[in-house]
Amino acid sequence: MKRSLYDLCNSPGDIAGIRMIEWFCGYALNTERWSKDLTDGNCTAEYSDEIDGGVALKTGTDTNDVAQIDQNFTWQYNIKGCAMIFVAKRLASAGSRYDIGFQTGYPNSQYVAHIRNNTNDTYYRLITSAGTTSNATDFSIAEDNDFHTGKIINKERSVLGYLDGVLEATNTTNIPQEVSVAGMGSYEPFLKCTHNASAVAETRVTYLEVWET
Amino acid sequence: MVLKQTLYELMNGSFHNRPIRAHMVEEFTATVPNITETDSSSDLGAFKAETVHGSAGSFAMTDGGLRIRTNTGAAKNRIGGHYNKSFNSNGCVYESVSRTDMDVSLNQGFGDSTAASDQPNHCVSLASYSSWQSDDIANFITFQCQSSTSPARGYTSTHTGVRTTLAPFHQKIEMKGVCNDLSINGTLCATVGLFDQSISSYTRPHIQAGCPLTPVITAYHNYTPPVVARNCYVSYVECYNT
Repeated sequence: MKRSLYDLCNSPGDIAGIRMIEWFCGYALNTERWSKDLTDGNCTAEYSDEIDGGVALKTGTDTNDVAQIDQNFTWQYNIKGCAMIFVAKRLASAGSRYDIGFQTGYPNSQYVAHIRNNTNDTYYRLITSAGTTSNATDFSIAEDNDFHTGKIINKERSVLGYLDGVLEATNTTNIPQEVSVAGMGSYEPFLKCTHNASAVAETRVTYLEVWET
Repeated sequence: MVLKQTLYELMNGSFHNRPIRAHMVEEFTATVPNITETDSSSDLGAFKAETVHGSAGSFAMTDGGLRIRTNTGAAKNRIGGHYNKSFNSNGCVYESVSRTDMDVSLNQGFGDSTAASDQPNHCVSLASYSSWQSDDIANFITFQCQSSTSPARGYTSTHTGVRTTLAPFHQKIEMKGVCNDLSINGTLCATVGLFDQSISSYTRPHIQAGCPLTPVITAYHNYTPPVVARNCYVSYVECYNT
């Protein structure tokens, strides 16, 4: 090997922070890395037997079913300095959505930063929340059912949301960074598929990269 | 602590390109193989172990990576993605670093059924090293593609002219819309499935367009009568859709 991956990804002298790569490809989801948080037995989170299937987060047909995976109880990422890249798509289904990003706890974390693709919205959105107050900023890209590359960067005083390499939204208020709550801890990545109609919702994720900046 | 570049950018060139698709990397470095030998919902592993012929095949980590050991006699032992077929025959790549022992054939690439002894659709290299054949003809790497459907049903094996040795080698299979290529140690050495415009047909068997595929690695003991089990070693596998 001419150069190490570390050399390629970092500048000389850098001490890299924590980083993870997940391909979501192969025989079985690594459940030593990912916790499945499923509403009930009708929801699943398994690798898909399809070309570019990735991990399929699939709900049942009960309203507000959730199919989610996250690193439950392992909050390793600094709220004021971490980032994520993911490749995902939401399959067409009434009332379905995905939320992919960071949270400080599960379930119903009040401190989050994530990108949402929702049939009930007009556009993709960056959503942040600092306790009881949240902030949703529309992207310029309409919600759809295609694969896109999402990127979230958490800075000390802002959260940036990208789609396919373009900065689409910047939240500077109602972000987890602006509060200090005892026991709030740090971030964990989460991937969540939900629907609010009586139909199956499904999200496919083929790549995830998370690191501290 | 600043990440100068992301792995995503290094692999995909730019965020403005088509989003990266199915991709897997397995380096087979651990105390136990990253494979499962059962088939239940709680299984882990990048690969599923498939002992498809015989019952004494085994898997273990060694200094040379994953060891795939066959049963004695004419027996096959295999790992693959089992029912998860994420790769597209119109555009995917299989790369590996591996080596074989005597009297065993290391067959690897893509297939559409890891559980079947003979996969209906496959595109694999066969690196066979036989110590017992007097004419030495088996000791070359061949490239084999098979399709189960028209317009190019059947299979063909193309002699690469590259000798099999007992040393580790790198191979790369590139499946494209018009042909499939095999490179050994960085040199293109075989192409099958070229489309002949003059007759508007494939000249060689070619896997059906868009066929879902999974990586497949098979150790095939090709020496009978049974004497001893034989080994193949795999230290790196990378697959991706292009």
